[in-house]
Amino acid sequence: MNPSFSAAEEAFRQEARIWLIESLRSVGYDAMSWRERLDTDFCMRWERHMGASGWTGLSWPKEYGGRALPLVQQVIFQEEYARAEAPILWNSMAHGILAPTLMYYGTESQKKRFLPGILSNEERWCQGYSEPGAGSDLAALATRAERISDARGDRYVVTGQKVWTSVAQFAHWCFILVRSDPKSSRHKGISFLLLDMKSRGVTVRPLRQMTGESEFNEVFFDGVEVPVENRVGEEGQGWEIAMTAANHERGTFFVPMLVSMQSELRDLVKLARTTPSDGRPAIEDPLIQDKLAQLYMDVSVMRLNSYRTLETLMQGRPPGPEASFTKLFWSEVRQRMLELAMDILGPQAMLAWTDPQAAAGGRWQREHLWSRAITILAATSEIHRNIIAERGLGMPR
Amino acid sequence: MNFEPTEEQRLLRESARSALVGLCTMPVLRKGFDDPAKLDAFAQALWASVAELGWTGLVVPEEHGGMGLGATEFAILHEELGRALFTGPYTVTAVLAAGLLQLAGCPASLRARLTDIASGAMRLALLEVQSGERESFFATCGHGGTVSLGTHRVPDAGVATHFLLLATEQVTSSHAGVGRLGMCLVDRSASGVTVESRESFDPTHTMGSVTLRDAPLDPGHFHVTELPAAQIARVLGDMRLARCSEMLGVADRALSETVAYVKERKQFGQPVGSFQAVKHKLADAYIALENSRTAARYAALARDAGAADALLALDVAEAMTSVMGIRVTGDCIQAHGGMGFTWESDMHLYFKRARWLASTGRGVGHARASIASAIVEGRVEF
Repeated sequence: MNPSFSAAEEAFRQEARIWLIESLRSVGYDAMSWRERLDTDFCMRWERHMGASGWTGLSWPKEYGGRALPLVQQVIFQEEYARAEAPILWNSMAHGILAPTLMYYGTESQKKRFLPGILSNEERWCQGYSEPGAGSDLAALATRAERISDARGDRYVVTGQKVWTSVAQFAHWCFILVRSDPKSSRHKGISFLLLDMKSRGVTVRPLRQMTGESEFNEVFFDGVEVPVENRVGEEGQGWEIAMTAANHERGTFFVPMLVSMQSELRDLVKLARTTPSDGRPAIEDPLIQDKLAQLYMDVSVMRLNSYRTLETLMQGRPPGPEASFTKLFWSEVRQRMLELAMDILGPQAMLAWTDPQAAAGGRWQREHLWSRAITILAATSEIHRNIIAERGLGMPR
Repeated sequence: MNFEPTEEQRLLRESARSALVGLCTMPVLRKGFDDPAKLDAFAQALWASVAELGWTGLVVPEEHGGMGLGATEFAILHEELGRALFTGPYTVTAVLAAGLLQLAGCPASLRARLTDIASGAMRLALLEVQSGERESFFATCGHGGTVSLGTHRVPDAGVATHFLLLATEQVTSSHAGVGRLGMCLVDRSASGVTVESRESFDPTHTMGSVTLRDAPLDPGHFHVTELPAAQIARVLGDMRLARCSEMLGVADRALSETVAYVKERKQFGQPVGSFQAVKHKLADAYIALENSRTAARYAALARDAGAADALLALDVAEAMTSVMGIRVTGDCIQAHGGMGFTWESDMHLYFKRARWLASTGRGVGHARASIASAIVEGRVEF
């Protein structure tokens, strides 16, 4: 049983589905291997194509070039996007976090300058939050922004280091949290700046991950100048802005994760049918069957939870700890799912994902390794459990 | 799909909760712990009160004096019954028996007893006939006369006015096959019926050992029939769904009392609820509870909508809820420290009810195996 959608919503689903199928076909997606589909240049070209075709900014107001679609249609698009197994969106930080922040806190000229580049995906953004000394404890951040006002203008001079900065090596801009008041500590004295990655003094050093890939980076700022007009909100308002921005993520972000997970489970069942174990299909192993049953339960309930959350959002009630809840549960279930994939592969799992002979192009080994990141990024599971206990159950901080 | 309750459902929940706060209290339940006769007497008085509220006729059609409501409603009511550790054979009577008497093929003489269920005049405890005795039982249900059954352990036997004897079996083996159902009602006071009181693992229910030796069957109170297996599974499923919902209520109350406790209880100069070890345990309990709530709610919605995946949804809800209930109530004992292990604390009552509920059906293993075969046979959609 699925939630019932109106005729208009179903029509929109058809429109989205057809556009996705045709566009993906036109770029040869069907014939591409799993590895080719991960290619960064390809993904970024695709993202610009989406922008040029009017399939970005679905939630944005029309005055900023968006489509101002109701929440249900945004969700439908996300579902269809995930169902089509369409490419990874590298500029998602800009769409999910920065754009709503600019619409709320930005000046008119900031909106005019930056929103069109996000909408078209011609300008890519990275998020400069975490630092070597400020991970889960973001308020400990130490990157300094010294304000200088002279004949050359009013500006900040940024010095410090960010880390775990995804896609910084491809980003044109960085939205960054800096300590603008050197005497301040913790949540006070932090500002939110928009920093041009081409500026003098920016060094990006890719970090090699346990998968062997380099998707995130260390970013060093050595006296990088940022004009004062590129500060969002007031000086010292950065923490509030960052926290509000985190809430924007709560909208519909969970939908694609869940839909992709359903496809992943479907593929896992196929893997279990086709992989021999002791001369019989692995799916005949009762232990594997039981683990598949558990995953089916978890994935079903996650999908139903997302409809439950959606109802809450549509009724305009403030979300509780659902974002933490969803992220935590999703990440832990997905880790289990990929562990099962490795179990099913048996001795085949002993090849590295990069080996040309790896089963399924190395997909399962790579995703299995990657899944160790998902309980750490976007706040660790430990932080999410704190949030759930404090906001969901009202336990003391 | 509506995960949010409707206005009527919200009212049902609120009125049930406020009624039960007065009707079924811990001090009264506790008085019956050492004396099953006292607990049975209380259950009987409680029955009269809830019959007045119309709950005994919740799913009974209006023409038989009931309210004619569906699974979504009895699920909500069961959450509240669980929260109150309600005692008595409510689920067997008002959900299972009321459902069986509405099945196609049920003779009018049996169906007429729906009125007695709705009015509260009839309280039924369940004897599930096991495989060894099934064939002769089906024969008895065909021709009547007298019935004999070896000793069965029967929860709430001491409160029952009648025993519901029930056997089902699969006639054709395919998933969408035919099933056979035999049932009869035996008067508690009929000759040949002996009830011996046993000690119940869950002290908020009583337990009896029931033996039937040539107990006479009243005319028109027995029948055997063949039906689509799915119809039988749906009625039996209603009882499983009710148990899941009751489990939610038990776990919800245990968890909220535990959260209140860890906010108050201080060690090392601060509330123990501020320690991450405690927070994380209870956060996990909350996740398990909310996931089970979602699964059970969906199972009820799918049941009422006659959805194709209703039985699969029920397997998911049952497998999830049983494990959740035992784990959450166990963690609640742990979070109470030494207090949690005392007889004085209510935590063991939630823990015992959770285990009791999990033990009433065919068990988690059965539900999980059923989900697994749906996957293996390609009957699930992703």
